[in-house]
Amino acid sequence: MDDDLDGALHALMTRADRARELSDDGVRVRASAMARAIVAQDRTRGRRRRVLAASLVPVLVLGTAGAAYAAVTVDWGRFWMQPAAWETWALTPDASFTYALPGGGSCEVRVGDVTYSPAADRPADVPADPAAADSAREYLRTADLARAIDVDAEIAKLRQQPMMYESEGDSIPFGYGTDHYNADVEYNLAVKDAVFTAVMSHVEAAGYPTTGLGFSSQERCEGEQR
Amino acid sequence: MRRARRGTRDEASFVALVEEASPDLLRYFARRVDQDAADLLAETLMTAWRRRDDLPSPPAEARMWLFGVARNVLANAQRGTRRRHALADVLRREMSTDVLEDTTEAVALRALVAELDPELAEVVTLAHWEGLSFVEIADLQKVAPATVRGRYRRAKLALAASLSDLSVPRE
Repeated sequence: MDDDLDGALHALMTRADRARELSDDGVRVRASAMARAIVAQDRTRGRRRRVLAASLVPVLVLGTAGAAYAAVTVDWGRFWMQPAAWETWALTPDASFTYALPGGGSCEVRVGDVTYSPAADRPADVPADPAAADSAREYLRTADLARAIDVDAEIAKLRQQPMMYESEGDSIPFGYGTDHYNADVEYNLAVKDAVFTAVMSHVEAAGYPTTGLGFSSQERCEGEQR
Repeated sequence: MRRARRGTRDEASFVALVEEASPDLLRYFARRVDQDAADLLAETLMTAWRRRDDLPSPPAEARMWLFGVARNVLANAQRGTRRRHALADVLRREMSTDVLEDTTEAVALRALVAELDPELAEVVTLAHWEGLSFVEIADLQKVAPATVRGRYRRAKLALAASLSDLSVPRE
């Protein structure tokens, strides 16, 4: 009976498989380009990621041994951990501004270190133009960034997108409406997203592709909610 | 200098692994989500590169490790966290032209599988669609192979019972 069922199940599952005709070679070419782009982006933005990494990955604190259950919480102190010093590029940034946090604290943001490094082996139909970096740099140097960014719009986007912290195999929702909501954290993330949106929108509006375009930001905050 | 050489080797082995495993990973996602397979593949590759220090060296183990990353990415997506990746734009466009019309029978059969307990459905789909062994599935589900065998048998009996109740034809 088992053999009959095995055969029937195999036939059933074969017929239930989605009818897709994916070309292995085509997928390999695209996936390999994606892998190379991921590596290239990682190396290009390594410095920026190092600056932000400590603040964007909070530590999970598990309940003490013997507790009735293990409470998972987020230590926001790590989120606000300050870099030791301004990065070299941040000593002469292309833009800088200070903004107030909802809880009464404030942050100084410096933006600069504009780079252009598109993947050499990107798909042929993905355009790139080094003028994009000039456009971004000029925008940062001349625009009133504090006025140009739309933080409320970015907050609205954040609230529509579930956000998870993934750390050591655990994923913790931390955005608006969760047990780990922190208005200062939300505002801080929204400001950084808004800067990114403003720069990229300007470059695209100027008619340049944003492929390979990168820039760095660094901030120092005080009086934040933890 | 040593760091540079190590970095180059990391990149080469990562790209080689991706080239080998990506068609199966994309099918894994395409069988389980409607539209997001290319983005989930991109998410998997990004996560895998970020966690490359955990990547096993033997090719077979590396491939299964990648499936483990993909499984977590899928679970996150099914919990409602959706991300779009520019990296996946081209592949997503190509996939949208490759989707063929699903037959009514295939839809009905997949609905039967979806009615199983999630861990039973995962065992039966990984075994028949991805061709994984019970030992490999046990490694992914982090249970003993005997548990996987038991789940497979329960899935098989449940599907047989459903088929006898419904008008989905059996071969």
